[in-house]
Amino acid sequence: MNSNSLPAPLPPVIEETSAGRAYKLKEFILFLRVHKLAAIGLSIIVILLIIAVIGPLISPYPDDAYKAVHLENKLLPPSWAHLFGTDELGRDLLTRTIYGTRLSFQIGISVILLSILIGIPYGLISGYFGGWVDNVMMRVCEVFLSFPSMLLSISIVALLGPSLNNMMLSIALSWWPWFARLMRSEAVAIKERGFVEAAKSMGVHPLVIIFRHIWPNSLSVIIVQISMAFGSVILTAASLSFLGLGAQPPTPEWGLIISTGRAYFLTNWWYVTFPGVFILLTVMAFNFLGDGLRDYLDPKTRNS
Amino acid sequence: MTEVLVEIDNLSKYFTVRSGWFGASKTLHAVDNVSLSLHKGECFGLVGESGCGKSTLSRTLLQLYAPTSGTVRIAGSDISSVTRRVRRRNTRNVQMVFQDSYWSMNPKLRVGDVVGEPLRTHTKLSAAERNRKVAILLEQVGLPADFARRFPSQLSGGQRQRIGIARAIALQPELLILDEPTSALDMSVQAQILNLLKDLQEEQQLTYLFVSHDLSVVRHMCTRMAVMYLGQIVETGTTEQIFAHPLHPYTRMLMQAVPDIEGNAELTFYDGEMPKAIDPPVGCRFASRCPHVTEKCTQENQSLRELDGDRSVRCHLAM
Amino acid sequence: MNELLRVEQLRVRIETRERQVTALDLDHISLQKGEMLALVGETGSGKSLTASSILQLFPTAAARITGGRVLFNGTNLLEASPSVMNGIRGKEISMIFQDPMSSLNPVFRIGKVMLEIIRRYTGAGKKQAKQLAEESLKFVGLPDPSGIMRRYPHELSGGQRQRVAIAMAMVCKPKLLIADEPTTALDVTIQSQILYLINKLKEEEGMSVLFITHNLGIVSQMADRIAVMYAGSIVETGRTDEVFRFPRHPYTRLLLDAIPRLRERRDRLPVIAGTAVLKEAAGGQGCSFAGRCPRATKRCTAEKPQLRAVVSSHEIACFHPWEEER
Repeated sequence: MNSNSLPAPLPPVIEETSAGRAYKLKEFILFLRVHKLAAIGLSIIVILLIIAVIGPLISPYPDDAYKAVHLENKLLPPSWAHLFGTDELGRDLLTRTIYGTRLSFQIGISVILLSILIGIPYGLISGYFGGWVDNVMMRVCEVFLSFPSMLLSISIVALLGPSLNNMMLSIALSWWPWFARLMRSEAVAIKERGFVEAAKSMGVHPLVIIFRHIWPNSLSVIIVQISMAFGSVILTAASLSFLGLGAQPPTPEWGLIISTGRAYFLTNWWYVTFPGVFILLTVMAFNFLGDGLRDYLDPKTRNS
Repeated sequence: MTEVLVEIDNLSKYFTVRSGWFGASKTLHAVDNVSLSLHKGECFGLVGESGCGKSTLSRTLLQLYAPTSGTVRIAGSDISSVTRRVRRRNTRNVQMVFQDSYWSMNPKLRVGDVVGEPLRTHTKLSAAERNRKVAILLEQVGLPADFARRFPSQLSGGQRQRIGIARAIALQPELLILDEPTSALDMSVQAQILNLLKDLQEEQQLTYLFVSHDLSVVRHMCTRMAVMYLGQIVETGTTEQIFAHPLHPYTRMLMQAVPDIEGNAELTFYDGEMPKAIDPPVGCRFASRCPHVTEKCTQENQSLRELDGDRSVRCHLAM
Repeated sequence: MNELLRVEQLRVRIETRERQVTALDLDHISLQKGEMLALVGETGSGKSLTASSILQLFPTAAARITGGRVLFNGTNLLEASPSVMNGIRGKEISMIFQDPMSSLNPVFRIGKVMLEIIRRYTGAGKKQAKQLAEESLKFVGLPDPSGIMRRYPHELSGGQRQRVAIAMAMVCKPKLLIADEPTTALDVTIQSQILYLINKLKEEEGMSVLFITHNLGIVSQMADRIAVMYAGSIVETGRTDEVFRFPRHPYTRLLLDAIPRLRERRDRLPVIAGTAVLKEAAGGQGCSFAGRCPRATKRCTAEKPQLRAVVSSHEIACFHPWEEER
């Protein structure tokens, strides 16, 4: 009982009804109104996501995404026929950028999923059991963290051979320790709380404690981290492809498009500009959203 | 009535603490040679200030800590028994109501799941049967059944403590440890919770270990009690006896320090604080604060002496 | 005129996105020089909010004073300029809290914080300030003051920290000390030491004390007068012995009955049904206790009872007070 706190009104009862969900939604919309950057970030992400999902339907020249060659159209500047212009093989750059969006989201989702699948259980176990288990597991984690993540990814791809799948694997391998470490610190903090002690005293199985009590209470922190990581992952993927270590031609990957386009940078500005703007927008949008979500989900900074 | 349910025999729990990185390790005597017996169906009060070892003792009973030495028997079976089956039965038999109901409930679970957790863990009831049982439990603690769908944060402190009680009695345990169950509550709510606890005890013949620093609440609830200081029991007996004639100087100090709304017009002042239980010195542990200290107190270890009528005291001056 | 503090018609509203409530609707309280007034109530009764309003230091931006006067030595603090207020805070009115850490910066040694405060408020030189600090630490019963000043807050026990907080609050010899649940986090024997100390400040230094607590036992031991708060209003106020012997407001009486006694054993404790509700800003007529009151009538829900004197200084806000002693 904290005497300095204000009289605490009981919060309204939120039931799993349509009204309850509407209340939560209303609250979130209110939050977005105040937090303009998060709203902008979220809108950009939603638009990009729609583009990614319905890409094949809205692309003007779906065939141009991969192998088509129309040398008669090569390096045309933006026009109504080709909004983003065309490349050195006459392919429509708008189509390729749209397909690139699709690919980037696929890469982002796969990499994050893989890192979470490894990192979260790893961190939960390490943090909950503590002691020597924790010690060993965290030292392993630190081995991965001690390499600059880009360097680690490059070495792994170099070892496995450059390809899209190997690139995703290599990025996931450099990302999972971040999730593991974050999850561990959350687990360590949450396991000190009374409800974990209560569950232990009732003889609840450790795995049940981990997944029923600790995991749901750390969800908000993980969501913020995912949002932040998503942008970085897409950027890393583009960088690796740019270096020729990821997607291989003729895949319409943003980094790869820019890599080929840089030869024409001075004469045909549109070639690198549009994919570059898309990378910038995506990374920025996820960072804005991540920042906003942190404020939204952290009860300490809320209501002030 | 005098059937013994819990028998604590020379129980000690030490922790090793290290000061700094290279400091020598020291021993914290959190609980030191405590022997107690709790009768079936009684409410036994365990009184002391923070750091006296009362929480360590109750957490040892809950098997959250393994005792350093000594034994605890509940209904005849040793809680540190090697067989899993016996240990599991004992977990079922001892439940706790925590001081801070907010801290002790998972905010992401609905009340129904909080109360249902022990049932999930120890019974094979189906989800529907469990929900029915939860509804009955909620009714027993005076809450409507639809509270099961709420989250703990949507309840008041008093309501939450009722949920804590419902969870603790779900498995019909033999022993219920009440760890300062009302100290975080308002006065008018405290009365409601204390009445509820009394009713439940009568209905279900529960045995309570009531851990508290609030003497007036212990007086109200308990038939027998023990006072702890620095890991040791300094006085035990019936509540009536102890309140009528406190023998140990520490018990007397505690009683005078409690501001009661009737009597005690004079403010009494005692200097000093309870030291840490790290490598305690020879002699009486209360000697540093005792107003009646003699040379003998600091030289000889005091043992718990048995007096007439189920009463003991750890002081050579007490008659 | 011996009146040091008088609060009149103070209204505080709390406005958040979800709701707006009148958290405080205080008739009046007054505090004489050298007197201890206890402000008693349960969570949400507005007792701490009253203290924050006097110093205009709110724990949240959502709280706003919407009316009333706070007269301190004849000046209305609610109209005082920020610079005047800063001169009063800490110097004329000091405050101690339940958690003494709130006034101690964990990264500085005790001495550094104390000296800074003393020099800011008194303009004393370095040497003089050190002497003042040691004197006040000695006054609050801390042995080895210079040793304490070299320590960090976390190296002290809870009781010691509260003593340091009191020492800091008293260095400028303020006229009024506001103590907000200063012993709630402490053990009983330590609590008695702190209570003794606050009493000593009142007796020896002639300080007025506004003591905020939920513990009626402390009130009966310490306070000259008592003001009982419920849902933001004063429901009963008077001399402590008088109110305890003859509580007239149903809430006060029920509250006193609900407390377990040290000397007397009862089978069951009488309880107050229901829970306290703060009035929504819109509407909200009548007595706020009416919904839980066994003596409530139609009039209670229609009209808000004003604080009125029944005998000399014993005032109540109730249409149907008890007429016989407890």
